[in-house]
Formats: sequence, C-alpha cells, structure tokens
Amino acid sequence: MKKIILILLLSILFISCDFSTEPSSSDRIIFQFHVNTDNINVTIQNILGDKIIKLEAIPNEYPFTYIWDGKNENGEYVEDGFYIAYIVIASDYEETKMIYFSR
Amino acid sequence: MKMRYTISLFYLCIPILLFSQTDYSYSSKFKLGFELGKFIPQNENFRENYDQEFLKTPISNVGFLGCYSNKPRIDYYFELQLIQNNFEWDENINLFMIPMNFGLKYYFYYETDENKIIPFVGVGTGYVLSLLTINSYKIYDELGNATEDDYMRKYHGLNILMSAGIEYITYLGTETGLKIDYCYTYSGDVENGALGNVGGLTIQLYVTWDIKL
Repeated sequence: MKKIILILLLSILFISCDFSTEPSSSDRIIFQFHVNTDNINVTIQNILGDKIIKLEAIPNEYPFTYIWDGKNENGEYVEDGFYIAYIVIASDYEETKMIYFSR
Repeated sequence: MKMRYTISLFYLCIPILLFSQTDYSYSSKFKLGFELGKFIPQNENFRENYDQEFLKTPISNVGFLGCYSNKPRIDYYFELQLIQNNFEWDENINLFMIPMNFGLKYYFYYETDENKIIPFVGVGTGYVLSLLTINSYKIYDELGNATEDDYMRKYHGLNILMSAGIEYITYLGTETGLKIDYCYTYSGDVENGALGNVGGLTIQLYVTWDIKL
C-alpha cells in the first residue's frame, strides 16, 4: 500500500514571504503559489544542485500549482531521498528548499 | 561507452604495476603519515551550493597515508580521507565524503644530498563513500503535525585520480610533500537522483615517516 500522501503547501501570500526551511515528505509533492505573476520556475535538483526535472504548471489553476511525482525528464522514478526544489519567481525571488521524496 | 573502455583499461594496468618484479638490490620501505588540504569540486553547482570547510577553517579534508616501496623511484600508496562539504543554505545539512584510494607514485630522480626536492607524478583509483546528513529535520503529515528526526543517506562512487607534486626530505626518514590530485568520481547518474561526478581538484600537504618493520 502506498504511503499516506503528505502534501507540502508552499503558500506565498506575497513575494517577500519566506518559505519554511524544514524538509517535507511525500510521494507527490505539490507547490502552490499565491502570487500575481505566472513567471514561476520550479526545478527539482539532486542534492548538489544538478537539474533532474523542470516542473510545468497545472494549466488554468490558481493558486499556481506545480506537482512533482518523483519522475525525471525521461519519465523514470528517482530514488527515494532528499532533493532540492529551486524556485524562482519573476526573477526577483529565489529559494532553495530541501524536499523529501519517497514512494 | 568510451569512458567505460578507458576505465577498464585503467583497471587492467593496475595489477601489472602492483605486482611487477621486485628490485632486490633495493631494501623495501614502509611509510605512514597524514595529510590535509583543500578540495575544489569540478561540478559548478556543487561548488556554489556547498562550502568546503572543516571546522570553519580553510581546510576541507584530512587523511591518513600509507606508502610501500620496493623500487627506488616508485611508491605504492593507500590513503583514506575525510572531506567535509557544508550546504550553503542550511547549516544542518552536510555532505561528508570518504575517499579510499590506492595507486602509485613515480619519482623523477633519486634523493641525493644535492636533490632533496623530488618531483613526482602518480595515478590511483578507489572507492568514495558520500554521506548526506541532515540534523533535526521535520516532516509534516497531512494534518500539519511535524515529526523531527536525523537523516543520513549513503552514495557510493568510484574514483580515478592523477597526481603531481613535490616531496622534500625534511629529516632522515621524514618527508614533507605538496601534491595536486585531479579526481574523477562516478557516483551514479544525476537523472536517477544520484550525485554524478563529485570529483575535482585537491591540493594537499602531507608528512610521512619511515616505519621500520
């Protein structure tokens, strides 16, 4: 049986708001942004900072939502463990956050 | 494919060099010592996201060194190091690397009274254990409750390295050396979540003492 889906909500009310720095765990990680721009880049990286996949936004959804299902750009699952979510909003705000993925 | 072929050739050469004929006119020597130095990762992202400092000093690695010599100008060596990498964005996250390498060094000439500084080159190979440690991390469940724990993950890698340096005969039976290692370390594929190449340049200062058995 799959582990309980643990959802990380990254709610940014304003661009100046900071993220929580604690890692969070899920077999599906959801990023949500309450911002007034859709110029958002979410990249999943290994712990050194090398790109694994760049996430695409769910179309026509607000807050802007990005979901990582633990797959790389080839559609293959990565190993369970910690990864970096590198988030850039409107080129003004960037955040590096540790996330935990497990299946 | 080309890289694998090169690595295979490299591993084929190692036993030939290690078990080549002993020179009986030369009395064999053992040396033990320690080394410390600075590690500069080849991977740019690794350099940007981690600083290489051991106990907040410019030193990033410490290690032990053992050498055996049964030919006048060749040393076989084994070294065990600890390299600390601190995640720039969170002080609770560290990546410790423990390379265990063996190889050989070729000295360009013999030690004489006039030549106490001896240049050398070397090749080696080995295994690298990389340990990601995260202290006191919190994981949230669907109700927002947090559980706190420590986390460790192991990554395994293979090393191929080349060295160049100089060795100075400080006193009888004591040598001090300065060397630069270039190391390629394959530690899994990045797209699968592993580390890729965690190798790079290491500048090291070492001291060894002759051991009489």
